Amino acid sequence: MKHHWTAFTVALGFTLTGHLRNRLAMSMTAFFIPTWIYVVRATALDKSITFHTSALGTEVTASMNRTIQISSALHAVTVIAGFMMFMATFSARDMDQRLVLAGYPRAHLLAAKIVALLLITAALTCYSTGLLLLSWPLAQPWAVAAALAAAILAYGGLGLVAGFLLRGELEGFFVVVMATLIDVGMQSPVSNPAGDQTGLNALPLYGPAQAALASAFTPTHSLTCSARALAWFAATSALAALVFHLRTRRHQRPMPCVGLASAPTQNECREGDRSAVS
Amino acid sequence: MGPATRLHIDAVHKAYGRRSVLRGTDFTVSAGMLAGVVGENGSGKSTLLRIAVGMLSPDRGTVRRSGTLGYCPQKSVINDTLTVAQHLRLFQVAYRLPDLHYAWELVDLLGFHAERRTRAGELSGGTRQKLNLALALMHDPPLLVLDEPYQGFDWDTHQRFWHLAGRLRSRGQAVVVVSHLLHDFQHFDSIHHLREGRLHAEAVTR
Repeated sequence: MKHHWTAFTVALGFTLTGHLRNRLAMSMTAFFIPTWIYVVRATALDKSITFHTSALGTEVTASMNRTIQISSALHAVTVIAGFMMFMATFSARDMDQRLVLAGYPRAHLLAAKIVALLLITAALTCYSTGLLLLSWPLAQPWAVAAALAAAILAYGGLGLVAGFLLRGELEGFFVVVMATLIDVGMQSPVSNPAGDQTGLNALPLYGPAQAALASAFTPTHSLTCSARALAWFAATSALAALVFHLRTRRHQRPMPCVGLASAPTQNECREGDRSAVS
Repeated sequence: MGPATRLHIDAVHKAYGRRSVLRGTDFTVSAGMLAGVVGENGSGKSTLLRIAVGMLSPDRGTVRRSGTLGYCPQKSVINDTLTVAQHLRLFQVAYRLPDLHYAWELVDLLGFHAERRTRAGELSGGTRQKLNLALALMHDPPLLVLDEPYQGFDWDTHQRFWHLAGRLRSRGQAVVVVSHLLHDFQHFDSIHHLREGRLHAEAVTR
């Protein structure tokens, strides 16, 4: 039991260390999110717009400037979460395979990645919600935070899967940037006023975007709407677990020593059945 | 076969698409043996080693091993964001080692103790390879499979590596090394030339 705990905590500690040493992600978090929100606040048109949230069935009237701030915050946190998870997974995947073959329990390595994502989600959510609160008192800050968290989890999960599947860093960055760009653009009432296209509700940000917009300006309950993105998080985590399992499986276990012309000792045979490879 | 066979590969075939790499390769390594695998670029040496350690599946044939093993891949497999000490800690957990005394001895022997707090991404090519090798040796396994483990080593470290390999052999460990360098051949007990998908034993000259 102690070994399991040690394996998990060591993996979690070094996974978080890897995230903290991702200078680009840390710089983006420190400067990109506040700058983006500030620039929108300072420059976007401040007229009133009315839009319909199809997921919640309510009409919302709000400042266009603040609406864009919400969309920008969603875009910023999803890009950063997707990028962080992609880079951490991509840069460690060969090493993870080596560790598993050396005997590291793979469930603990994967659990460490997902728990690290939960911690990143908590930190990014608090930070971005705090920045929005500096702009105006949100109608329901906790519900906006929940929507941001759900969006981060969905794109963090996508980054995790991309880190296992894609072949290059540039590919991963491009996929994360383009996916969030399209998703945020389609969910924004400013860039897509109709917001009722077929298939729109299947995108990861459909629930969180509408929940964040409604919660920022109205008292409408939106937690279940945010939770729609958790299906994406669950699906991407399950896919990541499957890909991780396939990548780290041992193709050929040592055969039993029985049958060797000169068989090693029983002890050696037992060792062979659980041989560690580095 | 000798009294303590550590690795036995029998009639292994492997093809990538239509390109056949291994065509009935046989290979046996016993305890206390330092075996060299040589061959031209692309002849399938790394494929053979990856099959030997279980990272790759053969199309046909069998692989039998006894005891734990250490595998040093040709290209350094390390995490650039972690320090040397953090790598040792991770593999200590993987191998379930009670302490890291032997691992630090290896780090001293290979001459990169001063880099223990340096991130792998900031290490020189040769030092990355030293770390790559240390991770394969640190649990002192009875079978070692090393794929060109000394790429980028300076001459002194290269010599220390062969001294270490000789010491491991004399302690009864089986060591397989892929090499390209003619002047390394004198260190081997047996040399196996991979040619047209098969291993051919060659005379050892000392």
